[in-house]
Amino acid sequence: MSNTDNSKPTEVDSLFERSIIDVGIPPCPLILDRFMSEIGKDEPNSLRLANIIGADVSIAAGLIKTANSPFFGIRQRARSVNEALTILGLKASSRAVAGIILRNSFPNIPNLERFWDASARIAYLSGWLAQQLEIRGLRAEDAYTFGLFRDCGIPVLLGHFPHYADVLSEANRDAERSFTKVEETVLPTNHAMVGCMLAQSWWLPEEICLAIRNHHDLRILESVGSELPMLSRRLIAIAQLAEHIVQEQLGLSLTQEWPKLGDACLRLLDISEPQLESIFVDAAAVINTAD
Amino acid sequence: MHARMLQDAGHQTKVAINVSRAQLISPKFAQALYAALICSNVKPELIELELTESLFMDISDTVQKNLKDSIAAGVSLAIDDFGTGYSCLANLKDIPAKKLKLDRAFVVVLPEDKRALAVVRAMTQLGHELGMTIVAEGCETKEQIEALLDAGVDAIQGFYYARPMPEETLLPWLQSRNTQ
Repeated sequence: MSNTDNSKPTEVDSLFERSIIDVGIPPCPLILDRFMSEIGKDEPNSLRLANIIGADVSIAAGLIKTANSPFFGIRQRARSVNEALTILGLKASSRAVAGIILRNSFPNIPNLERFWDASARIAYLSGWLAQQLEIRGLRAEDAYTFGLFRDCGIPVLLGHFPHYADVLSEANRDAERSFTKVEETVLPTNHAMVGCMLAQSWWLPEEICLAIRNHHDLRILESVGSELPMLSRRLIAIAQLAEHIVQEQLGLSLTQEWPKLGDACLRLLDISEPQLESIFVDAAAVINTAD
Repeated sequence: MHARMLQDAGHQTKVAINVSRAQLISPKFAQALYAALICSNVKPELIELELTESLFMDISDTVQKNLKDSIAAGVSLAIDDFGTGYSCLANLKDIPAKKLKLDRAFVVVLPEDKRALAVVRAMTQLGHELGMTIVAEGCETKEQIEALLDAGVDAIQGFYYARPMPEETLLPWLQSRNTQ
């Protein structure tokens, strides 16, 4: 990462702060601590900084939104936090991140630990899976981005509806109805739709937005024809597999999504049972090193 | 998102959003609307959905439900470009819109065209009886505005006041207009 990118520091700073606040999701305090301790070193490690930034939904979204804002006038849109960092520069981004951490003007939403933890793990493992499976047209960076933002509607709904935590646990337990159907019995919308709208407001590519919108919809996942682009379907499948692996490894069966969607996901990724077993073995090592 | 920006800048200015037919016939229309309102954190009263009358060629149950859900969400509805398309009065009666926007075709021929003026006057009265505010689109001269106000129209839209402008100039424009 070059150090020659301080062209318009003040604009980037305020744009970025504005973007983070608009995202409406508080950053993970643990990740912020890691970031501050790295940046406080005499010689901060660029790669480590980029990895820390990329593991937080709020900061990653804020950077992507800033990089994609009309202010920069770049035709090619950033579709991952790494591309956003290339556009904004790591140095300017880090300064902006540090600035907003110090001002601490985030919305206060309780009980986000599981969301922060799951998003970071699923993103990381989705990226890894995409590298392992080598499916044509499916980039590891896209898989990472989707894994990170797939459930970004959840904290927004938690902040908006006081009873959403109860809805969430009911949807997690329901083995029959789709996750979003359960939400819709109580709410006028669902977290997939909210997440899609958010991702669109960050100017993420349409395939990723559509994947977010439909990631609990078995019918669309299995539909023939052009109802949902193949890239979107595979993003959904890979993140669902990642979630399944993470939950199995940690011994936590927190959702019913794999029984409902697993078969369709394996078909989309063209994975056989024996192959799945070896993926599990390899993934175990990856998950342990990631912690 | 624009509405949010205006709201943050202290302007209680309504923002109108054009709705396409594809959007209006989607069973997920209301979900998307609620999601957008939640994400943008904007007051629903500041959002107006503009529907062109060609959307109402057939009002299916889904469309009816979507319109009802929109109003339940707190946004208001406006009928755009009225008077030159299908202009079905039976539909006009059934659409719970608060605002009727008369097509510019009636406006550009004013004040000379007395027959156009008669139609404007009649539509205005009809709209008022249905509880709608009447807006005339496409006004470019002072004479047109006088004729329209005389016919009972409630509000005027057009280049006479302002041309379409980008976001950067909109805020200062609103600012100067409010302080005048």
